[in-house]
Amino acid sequence: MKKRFSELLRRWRELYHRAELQMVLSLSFTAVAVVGMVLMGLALFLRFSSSTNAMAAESSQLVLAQVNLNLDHYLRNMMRVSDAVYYQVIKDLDLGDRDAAQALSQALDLLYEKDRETLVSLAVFDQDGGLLAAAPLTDLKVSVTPDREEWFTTAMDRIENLHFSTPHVQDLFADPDDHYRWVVSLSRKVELTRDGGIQGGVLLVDMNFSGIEQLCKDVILAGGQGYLYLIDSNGEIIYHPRQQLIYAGLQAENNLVAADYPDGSHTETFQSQRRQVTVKTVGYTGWKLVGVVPRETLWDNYGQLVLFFLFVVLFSIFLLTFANLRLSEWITAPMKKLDQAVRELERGKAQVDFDVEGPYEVEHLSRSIQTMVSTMRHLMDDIVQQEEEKRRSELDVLQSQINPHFLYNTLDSVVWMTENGRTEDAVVMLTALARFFRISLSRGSNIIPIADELEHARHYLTIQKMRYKNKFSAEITAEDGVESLYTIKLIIQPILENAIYHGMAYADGDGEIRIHAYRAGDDVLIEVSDNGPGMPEEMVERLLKPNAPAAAAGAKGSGIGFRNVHQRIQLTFGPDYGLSIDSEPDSGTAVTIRLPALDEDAARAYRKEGER
Amino acid sequence: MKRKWLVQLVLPLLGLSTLFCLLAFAPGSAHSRPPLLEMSVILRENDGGASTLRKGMEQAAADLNVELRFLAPATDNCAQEQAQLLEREIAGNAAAVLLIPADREALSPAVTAAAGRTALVTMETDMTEQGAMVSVGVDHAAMGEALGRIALNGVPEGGTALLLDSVPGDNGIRQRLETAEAYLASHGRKVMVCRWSPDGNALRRVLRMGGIDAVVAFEATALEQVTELSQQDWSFPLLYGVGSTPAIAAGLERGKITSLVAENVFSKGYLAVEATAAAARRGTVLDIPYISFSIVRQETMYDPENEKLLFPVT
Repeated sequence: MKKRFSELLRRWRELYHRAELQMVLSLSFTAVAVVGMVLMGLALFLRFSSSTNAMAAESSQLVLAQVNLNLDHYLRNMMRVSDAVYYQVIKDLDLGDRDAAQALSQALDLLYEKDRETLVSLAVFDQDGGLLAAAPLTDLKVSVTPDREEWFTTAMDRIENLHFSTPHVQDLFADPDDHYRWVVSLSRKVELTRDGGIQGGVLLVDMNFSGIEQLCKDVILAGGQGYLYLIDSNGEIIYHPRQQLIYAGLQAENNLVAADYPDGSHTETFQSQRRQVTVKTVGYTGWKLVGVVPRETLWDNYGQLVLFFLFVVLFSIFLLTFANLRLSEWITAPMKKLDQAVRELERGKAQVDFDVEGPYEVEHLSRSIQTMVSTMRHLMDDIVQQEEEKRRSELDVLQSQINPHFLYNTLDSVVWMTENGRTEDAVVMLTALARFFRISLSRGSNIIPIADELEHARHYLTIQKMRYKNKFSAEITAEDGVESLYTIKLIIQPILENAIYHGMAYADGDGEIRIHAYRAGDDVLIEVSDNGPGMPEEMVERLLKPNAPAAAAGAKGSGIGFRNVHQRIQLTFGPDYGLSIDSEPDSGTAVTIRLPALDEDAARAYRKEGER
Repeated sequence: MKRKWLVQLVLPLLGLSTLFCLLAFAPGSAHSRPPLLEMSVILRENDGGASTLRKGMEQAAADLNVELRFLAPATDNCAQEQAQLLEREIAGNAAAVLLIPADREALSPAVTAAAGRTALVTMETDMTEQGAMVSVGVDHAAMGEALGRIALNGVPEGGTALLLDSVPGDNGIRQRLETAEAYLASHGRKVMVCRWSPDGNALRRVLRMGGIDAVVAFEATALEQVTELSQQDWSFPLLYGVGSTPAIAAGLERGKITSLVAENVFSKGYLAVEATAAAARRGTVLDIPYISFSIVRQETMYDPENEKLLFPVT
């Protein structure tokens, strides 16, 4: 899992590094917007669902409350009838009187007529179940035994209470029309006065079930998908819109469970259907009104609402994505232009326009790049120029390596010596010449050990001393460790040349040239001094002046000169290095060469490509 | 560039499509009622419009958004008239027909012809072999046997039971009669079959001959009429039958009917309409079990279960 996650992260990073800035921006904006929208949409939807549920429950409760009110009013009406019969008729009658039964019957008839729409019958029974009076029918069925009926026994048991039965078919009275009516019986125990004595009896009021049916039948819950039913305290159905289907076993109801619910809203699952159930107890009777709203009805709306929210979210996402793309494009356009300019520059285009307008950072970046490019161009031009100068200097050096005048003169001297029998001197001179040229070429290397450079100077001095008939002497010394350091070649010999031609040419055997190489910190100093006539200041200045004409190739000596050596040292090692001349007329001349102390490793950096 | 324009074109189009869907599909109820279905109900006899069977049918019609058109032959139990009514309904492109056949054999050609052109369901008599999609009713064999069983108590061995053939022809009622006849005969009772007429003359003639221990009626109309007849004659034999009308209940209560078999007529009507609607709308054949029935006596008629059978709350 961890490995997969790491792999995923790696791929994500790769994608990120390959992706364009605009894509990253627009995707990031869109992702944030989508997440925000989805979360907000979800929160709103959940809130709305919760509110809708609550509203549905509240609505059901309100409806139930109203039906309860109506039912309560209906039942209280029946109770009032019962009270009226008992307190206004029975209580005032002594059944022992001759006319009592008739008076009772008449009273019952009157009361029945008053409420004939809702009443089926009124009847008074004695404690043995004997019928005392009834309305409208007065003849009991032969097979009926009232004292065994539940309404009778319950009334006799619960002395103070009014007892409401569940709906049943009235089977008390012989109806010539053979009408069988569903009734709800309201029975109570009454005290009958007979000949001054008190006896028990039962007053029975049979209400037409259709009255209750009418109150509950057309109740609309949840836009018509919900319904309401009425149960007694044991859960037995009193009214249900699908009553007969339930009796027939074609439908089922969760009435027995609903009987245990307290008043309020509940959620139940019945036959795999989730339902919102609202319960309200009808006062006094213990009956319960149960409102049922199938959840799928609410969910129908939810389903549509979910679709609605989904469309809204989708539309917003598309809109935002579009806006993000445009916005990110607008933001990144200057950067893209800058990027394009840099690419052109990379491809080597000469003129590239870095003038990009945009936010402050982008403009600053474009100006900086423009400056950098310009600086880079100048630096490159300087480098090119320096390389060119270096190349010219080196070319001069190369040319001097095979200077024909020095060679001719030396060979001429060799010939003269040979002709005059001075073969040993000729050998010495030739040997020194060979070694001189060998070091001059140095197999093409530009950087050689200081030891070789001093050796080169030595051989040159050998040749010149012989040519100048030992008009001068020369001494070459080096501090310990200096000879193993490195330098560019052919820097001492031109100075010696100058010293010989301007200083030693007029010496009379007492000319002295000294070469001393030593360390001075991180630098190496090679001092070339002579006791010649010295040079005036202006000559000293002219010698190192960069723009003064170089020595002609046909002049005496190697033709490289001070300037060349000074330039080459500075081109190679920098302006802190080079020649310095200390000379005054009649005081000799001392030329100091300042070089960096380069060991073999450091010298490698200055070697040209291909050099060993 | 091309991709950029493609994305920037596709996205607004998608957004517009979504907006269109948002506006076009207004929230509604997935539980919207099915479209109205007009159903023709061809009765076997004119029931006066207040029967429990019709109430069951009307309840189902209200639940399922069906409009019922009741048609009855001018003459009760006339198969030829029923065939004509059926043909007329088919010619009128009736979407669904519920038929209570009077005679299977006589109606067979008409039913076969109609079966291919409409959703046809029969009640009381099974005509699925003739092309009807479903049959709704009781198990006639079981009911006939039950009737034979209850009549057995009233007919001593060697005695005679008179069976009333009130719906002549090949039908479910007849099947009950034949089963009861076989049952009684197998238990050593003599069985006579009398063609029933509403005026009762044929029955009276037979009863005058004497020797009849019990009379059995196999459907409610006949039982009602016989009960009425029995009220006029104190020596009327024991009466058994099928039915659950108020008149029959009164007869049971008064002792004119000794015992009866009551079926759940309300649910029969409900299920018949439900099956026909399902066949017409979805072409599906519902698996309708046999309608239940109970044996009811005077002393048990007010038991809660029997009470609901005899006196349906409609």
